[in-house]
Amino acid sequence: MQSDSERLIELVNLAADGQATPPQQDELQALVDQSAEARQLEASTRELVARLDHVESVDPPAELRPNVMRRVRSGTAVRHIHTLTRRRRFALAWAAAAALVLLVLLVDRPRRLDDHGATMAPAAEWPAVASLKSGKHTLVIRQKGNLYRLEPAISGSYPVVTTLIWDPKAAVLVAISAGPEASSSVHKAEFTLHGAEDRASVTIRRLGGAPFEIRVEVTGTEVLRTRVPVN
Amino acid sequence: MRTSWTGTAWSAACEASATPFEPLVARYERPVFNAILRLAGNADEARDICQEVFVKVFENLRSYDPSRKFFSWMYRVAINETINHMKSRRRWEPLSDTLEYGHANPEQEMQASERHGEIQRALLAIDLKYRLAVIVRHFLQLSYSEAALVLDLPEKTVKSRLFTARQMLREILEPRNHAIR
Repeated sequence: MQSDSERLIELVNLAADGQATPPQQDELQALVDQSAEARQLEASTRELVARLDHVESVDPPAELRPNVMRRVRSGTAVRHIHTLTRRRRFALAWAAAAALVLLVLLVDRPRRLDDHGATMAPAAEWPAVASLKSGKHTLVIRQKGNLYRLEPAISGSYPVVTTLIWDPKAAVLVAISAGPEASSSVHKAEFTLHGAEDRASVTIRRLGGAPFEIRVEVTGTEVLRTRVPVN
Repeated sequence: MRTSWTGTAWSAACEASATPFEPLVARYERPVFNAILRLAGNADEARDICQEVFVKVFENLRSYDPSRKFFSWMYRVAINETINHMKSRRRWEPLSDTLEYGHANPEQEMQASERHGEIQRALLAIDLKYRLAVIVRHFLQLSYSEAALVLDLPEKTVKSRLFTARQMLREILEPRNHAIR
């Protein structure tokens, strides 16, 4: 059994949504005529519903549709393989295996600082698993398997020296994309950002099964720290 | 006008070639992206989740039941994908007191209007099940019955959650005027 206030709330909301039947509208009108409290509730609910209905929608990112279609088309291409002849499937399988071996060789070879070609393209599509904010600084973390791409956005008096630090027993540097002033060691990557538009990213690979920490320092001062969980 | 994609022939056409799928992405990318953005509160995450949703929809066209409205199936995929993503995000615990997750600060697009920023902050402050009711009703602009389809809940429950959500939002947005509970 509804209480009077529950009934009033229901009627007010139905009316605000334009869903009240004529008898419900009459019932609400009677309540509103009798009570200042009901009038206030009706007015504020109508105002809220109008505000919610008029929140502007945001344009989806321009790259969204092309990215979807590219992934979808590559998916249909894979399905088409099933319709190929056995001989062509065999040839394609050999080509795929060769490509895989090549990829493994590329990923595992010793890296130079600017050696990020093997991971940059797919990393841009990795899902963001965390978007962390500390003051004016943010760190977006993307993940694919045991690979993590760290994308800091740092504010301050440019140029700012930014350092990403991790436990070398827990993770290893795979790639750094941060311009010619970048440097790295077993446990950190350091680079200089020259403006708000300047972007850098660091890709690391988790080594074990234990959680580990990532720290961000700006000109030697820690601004952000997070723990990377294990899936 | 909402198009009801009911043809299995169309699904089959998409399986053969992705081209027929593009108009569908064009039609739904705005509402799906906005719903995810309001739900998750972060534009980068919304973009990534939205992309996954469309790929998942494409990959699962074969399992789509044509007796159901296409939009309800698609929005349901979007909501489930977003909720799963948000659950995985919770595992990332900030260690610093000053840290905030992105969703605590609505994106620049949403801050274009302070009033809209206020609404987004209030939305993110209420429980997920109530937030969902508001999003399907106001941002996907669904009727009670359509919202019930998408959320897979009885219409009565959807209404109850929506009305409670509005009470919560009123209390957040107008803390002086919430005498009636």
